[in-house]
Amino acid sequence: MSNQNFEDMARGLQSILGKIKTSLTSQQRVQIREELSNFMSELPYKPQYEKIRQIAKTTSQKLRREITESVLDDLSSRNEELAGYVSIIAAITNKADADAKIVRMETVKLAVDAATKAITSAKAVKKAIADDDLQIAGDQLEALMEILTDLLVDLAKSS
Amino acid sequence: MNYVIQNKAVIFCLLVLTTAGCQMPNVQPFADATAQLRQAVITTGNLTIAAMRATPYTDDESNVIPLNSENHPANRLTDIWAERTRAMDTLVNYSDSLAQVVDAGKSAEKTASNLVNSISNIADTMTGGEGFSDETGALATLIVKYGVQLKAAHAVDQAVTAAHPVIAGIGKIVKKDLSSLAILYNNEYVDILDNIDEEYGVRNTYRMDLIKKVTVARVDMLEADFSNESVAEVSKIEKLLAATEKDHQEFTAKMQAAKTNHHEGQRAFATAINAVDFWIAAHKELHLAIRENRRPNVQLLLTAIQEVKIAVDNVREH
Repeated sequence: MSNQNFEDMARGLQSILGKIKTSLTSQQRVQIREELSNFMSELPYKPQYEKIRQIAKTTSQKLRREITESVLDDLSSRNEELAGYVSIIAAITNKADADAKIVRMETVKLAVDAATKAITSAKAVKKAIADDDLQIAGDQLEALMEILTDLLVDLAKSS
Repeated sequence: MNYVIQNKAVIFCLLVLTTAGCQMPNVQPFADATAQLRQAVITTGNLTIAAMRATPYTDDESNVIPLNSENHPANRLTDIWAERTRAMDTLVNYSDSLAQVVDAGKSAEKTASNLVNSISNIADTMTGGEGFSDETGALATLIVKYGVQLKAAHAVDQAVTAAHPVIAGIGKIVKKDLSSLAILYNNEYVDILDNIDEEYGVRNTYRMDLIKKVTVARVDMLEADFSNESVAEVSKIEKLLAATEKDHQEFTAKMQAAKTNHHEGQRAFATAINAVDFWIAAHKELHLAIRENRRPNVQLLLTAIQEVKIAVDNVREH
């Protein structure tokens, strides 16, 4: 608290009030409120200063409402644009989720395809061996190996 | 028969050479950063709403607006900020989805390995142990793994490319919103500090008067050459002053705590605003890294997000 007298304090308040203009940004208004706050903290709690305190306090509260109103309006003004962006991101997310499922399914599909082809071919080899036809069994076995290797090549190509 | 397999192995090698360079994009740092940014948005919103409720709001006629009134600005901000939280939830879902696609690609390695092992076992059985060599099996595993991972990388690339302008747009809005919110937060702290000042105001004025009085009395005591009367006067005022000490310490501690909270809150806002830029840049870097088939450089993002985490944790502890 300062040693300033009533006249000094009145002039101090006048100086702060003189800075308030309609063109001020919310940020600048907050700075004026901080000046008023510092001013009030220097003001003695004595009857002769009560009028000055009341003016400073009322002004500060008016600024508080104006700042709040202005900032909330500012935030609200961006709601629609934000909602638009959010709906696009949600659509991209849905597509990515679907892609994740496809990628998982792709691996499973590869495994099933490979197993099916290998088993079909292996059955043919087994049958030829059972029939004691080694020539056919040999050919079938080579064909099986071709299938298995081609399968892996196809897997790579298809990816 | 082995020569067929060996020849095929050469083909595998060639294929592996063409595919082995595929990098699965590391989207986890971006996902973690998005989650942390969401937390910062929620925390700064809660901080400001709490600050708005801390001191009474008055209307134009100086009537106090009830806390449960829909006209109370804190309730209006709660509604507006809930939209921001929902937007951040959507972004977290987006980054989690990218991670899911990458995970699906990565899990292909295990499936591919099992698949190739099965094929290799069949080949072994049919050839009496002369089927695929271990190297051929490993190469085949790589081919399947990278094949599926290429699909995953392509899916992530598509998503990131489509999302980037939107991410940049949302980032700009979040940054503006956090800046606006910081103004509201500072606006409310003026009242919080004023209220403490007002609570102790009369006692502080009394104490200041005592300090002035004791200063004058001490000079008088010197001038009176320490007369009994002047010493008694100084002693009396000093006792009164000492009696105000506890109250004054309480005031100082309360004021200091409020200022520290305010400062920590401001730091949370500043670091969150700063992190938004890094977050947008990290998404762009992710986009480029996928295109250039390299790991994204997210070091700056990780540093910024760590700072946000510390700032937000500090605020939440209060």
